[in-house]
Amino acid sequence: MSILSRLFARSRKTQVTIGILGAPNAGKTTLANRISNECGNGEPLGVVSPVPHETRDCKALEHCVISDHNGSLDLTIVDTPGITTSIDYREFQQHGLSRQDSIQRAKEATRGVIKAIQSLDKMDAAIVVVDAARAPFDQINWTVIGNLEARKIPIIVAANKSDLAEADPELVKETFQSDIIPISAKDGSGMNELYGSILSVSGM
Amino acid sequence: MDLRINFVTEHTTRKMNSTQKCDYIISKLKTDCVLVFEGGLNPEEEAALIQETMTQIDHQKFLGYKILNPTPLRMSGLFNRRNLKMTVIAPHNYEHLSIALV
Repeated sequence: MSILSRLFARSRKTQVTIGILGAPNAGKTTLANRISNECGNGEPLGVVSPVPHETRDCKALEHCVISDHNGSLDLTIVDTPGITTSIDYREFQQHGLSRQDSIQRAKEATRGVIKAIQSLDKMDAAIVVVDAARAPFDQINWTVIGNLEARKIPIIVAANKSDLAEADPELVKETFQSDIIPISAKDGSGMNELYGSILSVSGM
Repeated sequence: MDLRINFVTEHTTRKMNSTQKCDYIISKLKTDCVLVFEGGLNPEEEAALIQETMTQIDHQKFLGYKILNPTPLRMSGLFNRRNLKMTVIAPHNYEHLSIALV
């Protein structure tokens, strides 16, 4: 267990807020929907799309209960927009959107990035979702990592899309120089390990 | 495209607060300058810069920036040794940030 995890463990909370962070199209909303479904919510938390910045507002799922032999944890899961330093509406046009729709989407995306940064203050822990089928270095947002560390918020790195043949979770581990959890939010593999890690950083 | 680089010393930024730094950086980015900051930016300043940038993206000319925090350089002098931390910030349309630093 990391130093940050041990510090967090001292609080032994039974209600925690977990933020889902990561680069656009890493699979944050797919993961949020998976957790929502497995918590018996039934309703997806957000819409999944190949067009970047589909999630442009923070969405929360409350009272998602996970447990092990040590007890239960009442989670609030916050799906956040991808945090980026630039937004180019022309990228959306490449996905078939009209110029007008692309600019509107870009405007909403800028507001979403601000909300995502502001949401860091409310997180007890963060799941950083990385697309293991893409180069991980391009997906590291050091600003986000630095801000989580500065706020002493424990970080769980989830190497998503590990079901794909081209996925390389070991490269994600080398790049982040930390423990990672290979998962597939799509088929559900690795989710038990992810829940175990959430319980661990929460001191359960 | 001509490349213009501004080297910004710690002496220049020492008396700036976070807001002033953000304003300074964004004003330079809007003139297509690449900025090299001695001492770098701390995480809170980087978060503030993102937020301010998002409010100023005009979806025409200014679309944001790219940022790079190279590994600190070990500087040796006659009387002192220190790690030189830098942050490089370039306009969004500058495609070759990492190549320029090699």
